[in-house]
Amino acid sequence: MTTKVLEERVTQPVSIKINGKVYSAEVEPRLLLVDFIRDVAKLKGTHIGCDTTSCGACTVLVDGLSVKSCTMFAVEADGKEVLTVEGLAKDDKLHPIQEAFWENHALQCGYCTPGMLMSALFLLQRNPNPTEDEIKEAIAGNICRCTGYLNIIKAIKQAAQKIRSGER
Amino acid sequence: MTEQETKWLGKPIKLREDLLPITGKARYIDDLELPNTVYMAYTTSAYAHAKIKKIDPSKALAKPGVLCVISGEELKKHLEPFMQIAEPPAGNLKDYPLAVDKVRYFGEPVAAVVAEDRYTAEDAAELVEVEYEPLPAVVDPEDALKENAPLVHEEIGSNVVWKGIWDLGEVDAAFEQADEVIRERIVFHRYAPVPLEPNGVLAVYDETTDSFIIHSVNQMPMFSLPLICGALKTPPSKFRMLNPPYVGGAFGGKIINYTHITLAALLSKLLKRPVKYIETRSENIASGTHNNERIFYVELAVKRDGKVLGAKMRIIDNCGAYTRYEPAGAVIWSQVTPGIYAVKNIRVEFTQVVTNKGPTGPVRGYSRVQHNFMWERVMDIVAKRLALDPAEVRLKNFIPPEEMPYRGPSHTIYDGGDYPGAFRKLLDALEYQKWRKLQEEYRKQGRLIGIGFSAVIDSGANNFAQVKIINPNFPVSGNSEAAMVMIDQGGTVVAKVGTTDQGQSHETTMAQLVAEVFNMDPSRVVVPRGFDSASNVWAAHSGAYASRSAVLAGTALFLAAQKLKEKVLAIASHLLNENVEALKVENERVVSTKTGRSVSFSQIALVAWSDVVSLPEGMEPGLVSYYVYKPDWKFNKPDSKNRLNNTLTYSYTIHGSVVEVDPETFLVKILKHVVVSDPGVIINPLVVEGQEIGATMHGISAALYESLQYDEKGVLLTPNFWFYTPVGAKEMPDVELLHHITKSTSSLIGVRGIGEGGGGPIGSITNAVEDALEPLGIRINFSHVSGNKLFELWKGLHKR
Repeated sequence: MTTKVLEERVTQPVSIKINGKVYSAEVEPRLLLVDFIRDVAKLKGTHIGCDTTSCGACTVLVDGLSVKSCTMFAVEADGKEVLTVEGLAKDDKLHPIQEAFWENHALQCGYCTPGMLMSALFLLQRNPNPTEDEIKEAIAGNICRCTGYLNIIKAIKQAAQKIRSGER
Repeated sequence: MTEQETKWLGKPIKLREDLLPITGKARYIDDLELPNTVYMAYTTSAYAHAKIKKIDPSKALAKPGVLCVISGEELKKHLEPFMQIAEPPAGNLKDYPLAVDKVRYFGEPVAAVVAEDRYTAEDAAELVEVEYEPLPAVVDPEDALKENAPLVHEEIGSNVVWKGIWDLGEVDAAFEQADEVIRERIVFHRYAPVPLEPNGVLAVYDETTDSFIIHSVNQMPMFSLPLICGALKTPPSKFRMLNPPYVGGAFGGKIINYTHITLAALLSKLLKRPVKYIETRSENIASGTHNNERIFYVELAVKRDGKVLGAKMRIIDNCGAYTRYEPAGAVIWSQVTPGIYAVKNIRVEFTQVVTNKGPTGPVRGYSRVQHNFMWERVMDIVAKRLALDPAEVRLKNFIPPEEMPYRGPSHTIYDGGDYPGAFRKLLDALEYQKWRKLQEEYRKQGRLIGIGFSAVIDSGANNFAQVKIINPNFPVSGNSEAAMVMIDQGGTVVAKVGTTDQGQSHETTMAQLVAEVFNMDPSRVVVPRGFDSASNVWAAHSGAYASRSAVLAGTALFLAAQKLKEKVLAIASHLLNENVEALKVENERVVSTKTGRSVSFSQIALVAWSDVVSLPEGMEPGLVSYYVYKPDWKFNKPDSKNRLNNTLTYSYTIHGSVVEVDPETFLVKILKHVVVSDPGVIINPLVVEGQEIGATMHGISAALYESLQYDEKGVLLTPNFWFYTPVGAKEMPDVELLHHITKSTSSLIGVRGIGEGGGGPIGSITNAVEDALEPLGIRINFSHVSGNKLFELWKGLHKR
């Protein structure tokens, strides 16, 4: 690992694989992963909704684990694999979780949606048949200000069923 | 229009606008990138009230990448203070995007830093050194009225922004006939709308034309424009106002952001670079928008049977440090003067004050939520005092359906509905009698169960002539909205409205309306997203606020579509050589009912746009219609008693809550929550129910979780999402939602505005909590019932 000073700034090379594609850049050690995703990789689907790691709009998967990407430095994700909302659909075929969110109108403004989807994915990868309480627990770190959560819970339940019945 | 007569209205059509957010392709303000953009950040005040002695930007300026630091003092050289609604003395208030001379609330922007990137801007904002001389702060609205209270704005001469009296009906006579007079002090607390996307602006100054391109999340860009261009001393024609394709929620919280827009615009002109500002969550909570906190001194004249004969109210409203939409809120409550009840004799003395708290603005249910809550709390107090059932007291006082449309005491016209019918439906769905019995059994086991109701109205599509109560010379009244329908050269139907969208799904909704008129598949109607004053249609009042989009934009679009349909039929009649009466429109064709011959929209469009000599003689080429809709409220302007019809539709919602309070922690758990609502004609039930459940969540969150708390010095104790905690999925209860539909008698297409919801759960939950705590003798005269607060009350009672 080499570090160098650029205009008073210490930077470090970082390579992160996001949705299967490697993004390399010289970044400040304090650069947040969410800013790497949004500003370096230019993937704008991951959102920022707070400054205290409370709202979950920036949730992504890092090596398969759900992470609030405002709570991790880009340098910590060096060499890791990140999955964001843009990586959910394959060849324009929506992921069953995405389908279920659409079918149940589980969003209004859509700002929390990418984070919700990633938290839901993390849950369903571990627990293919979650109870309602387990779903609520899984999205307890994601704030939605529009829907009242009820359609989101319905959608995750339906997505679980879709996945179990082999849609994906 | 009833449900049977419609083909597309009322259908739960899957929402086309949901696709981009679920794939991460929806574009919001912070996703817009322009070359050469620089970033703005604020240095904010840690004091609620202090003189600014000195601002030293030298350390910030020394940081590489920093372009400029600007203070309020310097801003004064470039900007006019923002326009005020009130006349002097309150109209003397000077408001700028940055504090001038002194800070007036915790978190107020004191200086702005612009740098090449966001990290540098935020670092540099912390390096700006500000020397303050702290001043005593006034945080309580009743303290603000005291003789020796510190003045928030010296130029007003007091802390009173506005004071008015409504003396409606025969109040003294009502009190003479009363069996009992009930007196109560009721407090409504301060919270914030906190849309998940904070405020944001990207301002671009174009030197070649000396004009501005403003990308922002403002809910009413054209209605906010006079404030912005007034401050910048630049004519409105020099501004192109845009919203990005997606805006991440608003709930009223994206209206008073014109301060950021103005400052970013100025800085883009000074620096000749695009300037971007994205509010942080902490900034959003401290200064983004708060709702008005309000104190009610209520006296009610009641008969022994629970009938309310009259009311006297002294109301004190705290609008915070600046009047950025205020004092409009000091009159807007009068859209719901008697609430949902047939009380004709009401005297209100309303005083609005400034204090050293964050500025207020329209928060979902602006100014009416407070008033609705007061009525719902006093209805329960009446019931308790007279030993009556709170359900019976409400049924005794509802405006009866046979008197609809009903003229209220302040001349608002209630547009039909069946309030008692909806309430009875709620009693059944809630299983009221069953829960009363269970309550008794549980009490014996030491469990604290309570049942509460709340019957609220959401007034939609307001008449701005109400601000003439405050200032007769203020040049705004009525309301208007624009719509356009076009069949383009290729035969595609395109619809545009002047409203903005922050998650209300206007794209699908408006397509359904147009499809209804043209008898065509709504998925084939193109509705462009976002807002752009250069290509959209708009009226001066345009925007999404006051539950107005379906009512005003919907009606304007419906009328525009009908107008275009007439032209389509006239051209088709000419081309087919048949009478219009023999023609019908279906699936983008005009068909003769006699011969079966038909002509397609694309054939008609070709004639209308390009093969124009084939048009009927004298007909104007083109296939586009434009309509600006302005409703008639009948009582359009205020009279000497401040009476006018200041809103067009009244959706109403009945809430019933069953709660359990933990006797040790005093945490409140909702066991059952039922909602019965009447939104009038429904365009898309997915959207309507989404708004209704969303508004229910906001009410639950306000009652149990959200409260902006300040200490006695005016320091905000809840400055971020760790301390200010909106309801999450685990706390949100199941909600059973039922409809009880009647058509609006005021709106042309029968719809009612439903976006705000009237704050119903705040009343039903607090009423249920008091009911649950009856064995402990705890009384509730406030709107926020957190476990902490209830525990403190219980401790207070215990000490005695």
